[in-house]
Amino acid sequence: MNVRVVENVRKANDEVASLNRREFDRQRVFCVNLMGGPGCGKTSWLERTLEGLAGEATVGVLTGDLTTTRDADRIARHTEHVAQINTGRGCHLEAHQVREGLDLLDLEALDLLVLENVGNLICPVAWDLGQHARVAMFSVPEGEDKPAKHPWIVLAADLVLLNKLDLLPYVPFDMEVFRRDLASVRDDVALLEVSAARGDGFDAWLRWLRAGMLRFSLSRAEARA
Amino acid sequence: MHEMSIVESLADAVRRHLPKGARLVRAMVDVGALEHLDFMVMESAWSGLTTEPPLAGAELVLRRVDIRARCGGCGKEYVPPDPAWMVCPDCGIARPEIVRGAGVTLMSLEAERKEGDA
Repeated sequence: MNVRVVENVRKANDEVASLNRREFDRQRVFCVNLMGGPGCGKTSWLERTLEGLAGEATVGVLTGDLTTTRDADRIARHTEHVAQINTGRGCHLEAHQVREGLDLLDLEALDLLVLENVGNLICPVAWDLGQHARVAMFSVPEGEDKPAKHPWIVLAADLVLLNKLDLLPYVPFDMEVFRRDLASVRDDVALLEVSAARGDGFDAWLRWLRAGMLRFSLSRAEARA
Repeated sequence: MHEMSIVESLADAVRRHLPKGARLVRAMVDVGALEHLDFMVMESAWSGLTTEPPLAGAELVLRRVDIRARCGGCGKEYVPPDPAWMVCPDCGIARPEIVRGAGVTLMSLEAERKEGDA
């Protein structure tokens, strides 16, 4: 006998992601899914971000790694609103893990929640976590060929960050090729060239985050009115 | 690892849709080219995850679905020659909306009644 199905195999994940998104909407929290390869500088960039928004916005971080709490320990120096999700053999965060992580955070207190995905340029793209925006981070030492080798993350991203600009004098990296390859996948993608160590591009990043948070704080104000 | 979690979800979906009392013969699955999934790894994961009835011994039939995009400029649909080259052949801009070639879809099952069942 033949049984016709036609079902997305990530249906269960996508249903939980929708619940997460509804929860972020209800609590008026701007949620960003930060994706990038291992060692591209996601945690360092987040540490700088937490310093930059201190006193202005309350930021929570759910950080995903196969093992250890090292990233969460670093983030915890800057915010009390942090929880580590260990994915075991899983190479990406899934929506149910975020849902469980939310139980460890006071979502109501937050203006911004960052989901720091497991270091990986492939798998995280396919799994909706319920975020409002996806940010893809590349870095100079990884080489200029990453957008061409990983076009899906470029297609999925609302913003692309190129980190470790400070290393340009020391490692081979062809910026022209990087920009051209990025534009061959999407010529309207927003790109910020940044340095977590030196602060390049940081103000533009904060403006981008503020615009996202403003959308939600405005809706929060409307809800109170 | 990527393949393993997909195949786990696939096996769950198969179990949900398999008629009661039936044994799975094969599962037909469409895999978008954008997924970067290795078919040999998927088949190996499937073998490891389906050692018990009613899925034991069933075949996993994977079909790659090519990428198809709709141009955000002129609205025409096109098949990019490579995922890294999404430039529209008609108007020369790269603002693709992916209309096909992403996602993994369980399309259908082929099953048979278990021996001894009426």
